Amino acid sequence: MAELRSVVPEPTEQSRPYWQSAGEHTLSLLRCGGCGRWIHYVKRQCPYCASSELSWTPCSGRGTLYSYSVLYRASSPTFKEKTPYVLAVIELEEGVKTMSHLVDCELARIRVGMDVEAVFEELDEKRAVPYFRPAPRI
Amino acid sequence: MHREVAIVGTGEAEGGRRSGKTTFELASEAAHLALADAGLQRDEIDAVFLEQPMSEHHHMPANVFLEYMDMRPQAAVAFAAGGATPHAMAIQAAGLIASGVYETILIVDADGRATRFAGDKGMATSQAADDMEEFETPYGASVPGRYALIAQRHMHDYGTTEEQLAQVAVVERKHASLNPRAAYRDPLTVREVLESPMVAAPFHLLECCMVSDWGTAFVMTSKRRAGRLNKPPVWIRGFGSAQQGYNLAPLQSFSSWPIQHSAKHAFRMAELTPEEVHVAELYDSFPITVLIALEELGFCEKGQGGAFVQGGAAELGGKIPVNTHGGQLSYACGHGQYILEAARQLRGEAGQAQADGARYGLSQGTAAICSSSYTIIYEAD
Repeated sequence: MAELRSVVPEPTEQSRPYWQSAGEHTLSLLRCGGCGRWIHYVKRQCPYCASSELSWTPCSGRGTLYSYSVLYRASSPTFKEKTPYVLAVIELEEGVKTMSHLVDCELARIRVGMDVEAVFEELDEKRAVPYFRPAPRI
Repeated sequence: MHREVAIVGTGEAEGGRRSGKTTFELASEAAHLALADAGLQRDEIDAVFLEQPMSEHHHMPANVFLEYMDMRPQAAVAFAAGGATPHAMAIQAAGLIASGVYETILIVDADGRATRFAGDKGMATSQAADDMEEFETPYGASVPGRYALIAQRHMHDYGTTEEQLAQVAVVERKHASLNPRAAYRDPLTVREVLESPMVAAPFHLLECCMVSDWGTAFVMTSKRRAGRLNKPPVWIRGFGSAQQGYNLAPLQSFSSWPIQHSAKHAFRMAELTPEEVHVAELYDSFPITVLIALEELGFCEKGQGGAFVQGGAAELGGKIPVNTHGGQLSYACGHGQYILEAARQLRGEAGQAQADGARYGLSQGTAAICSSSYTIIYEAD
C-alpha cells in the first residue's frame, strides 16, 4: 500500500475533490452545469458549451470493460510487486471512459464488454484509488 | 503534388543499444551524413527542424543543435509530435518549400535514449507514462500496456489473433535478416515469438519496440535545386495528417485511428490509390500499430490486417512489402527511419531488401498511441 501511495500524485487544487470523493468510496466526475455533459479528465471549462460551471458530481460507478491487458512486467518497483495486474479501460454508464485496474476477477473470466463496478483501495485515512470489479447484471 | 519538393539527402548515425553518444552527437553525425549524401554545405540550409529529444531536455534544442553544428540558418524549430515527429516536420517542410518560404530544410531526429537511460528498457518505455495525467499514473499503465489495450480491443472487435500479431514481428525480422545494419537479424518463428516472455498481454517480449540510440536526418529542397545535387531526388507526391487528444481513455474509439484520415488526404493529393503503392514503411512500436495502419491506409479491409499479414502480403514479394528494413522491432529504435527507408527503396539502394519496381512508396508516422498520424507518399525520380 505504501508503495502504491508513492505513485499516486498529490492532488492539485483542481483534482482534489476527485480524490476526496474517492476517499469516501464514491466515484465523482465533473459534470457541466451548462449542457449537462460529463467531463473526464479535469478541466475548468466545458469544451462543448464553454461553460465554466463544472461541478464534481457522484456518478454511478458502473460501466463495462472497454479493453484490458494483463501486465506481467512493470516499469516501476511498485507495480512489479503487483504483477500480474489487469490494466483496464472502463466505459462508464455516463458515457465517459476512465483508466483503472480490474480486480477480483479470474484472468480466464475477463471479457471485453463485461459489467463492472467501482471498488476502492485505501491508501491512507483520506485517500483511496478507484478500481473496478465484475458486477452482477441488474 | 508533382515534382515540386524532394528528399535529396539522408543520413543515419551509428546508434545501437548503448552507443555512448549524446543526443546532439547522434544528431550531428546524421546531419553531416545527410548533407554529404545530398552534396550540400551547411550554409546552404535555410531552416533546421529538430525533434525535441526525450533524453535531453532543453527549452531551445534546435539552437543547441545549431551550436553543435556551427550553423546559422534563417529558422531553427523543435517539434514535439512523439513518434510522428519526423513525418510532421517533413510535411511542414514540404509546405514551406512548395510555397517558396524556404528552399532547403534539414530535418533531424536523434535521441540517445538507451545510453541516457543506461539500457533500462523500463525507464525508457515508462517515460511516456510518467507524462500522463494523475488519472492514469496510479494504474501502472506502461507503454506496452497501453498498446496492448488497443490490441485487445481490436481482437475483440475483429477476431485478430495472437498468432497474427506475432506474424508482424516475424515478417519484420525476415526483412531485417537482409539488412546488415539491423540490430536483430536471426530468423524468428511465430512460435518463438509466442514463447518469449509475456510483457503485456497479448504482447510478448519479441513484439515490443526495442530501446536504442538513434540519429536520422534528411534534407528536403525545391524542384529548382533538387535536380542539381548528388543523387536522384525522391519526390514528395502527397501527404496528409490527422490529430486528436493525447491520453488514451478519453479517446472516442480505440480502433478508429487518425490514420484513415491522414491517408485519405495523402492519397487524394498524390492522385494515387493504395493498389498503386509498391512499398510501405509503417510506424511499428508494437504489431498492432502495423495491423491498424494497413487497414486504415486501405491496403486491406478494416479488421483484416491480421489475416493480411498472415497470408504473406506484407513481405517482400507480397502485395505490399512493409518495413523492409525491419522497423522498431528488429532494425532500431527511432522515428525517422521510415522516411529514410522509403527514400532508400525509391532510390533503389535497399540492397537485398529492395522491393521490386518501387516507383511509389509510402511512409506513415503514428504518435502517442492514437493521437497523431502523418502519411507521406513518395515518387521515384
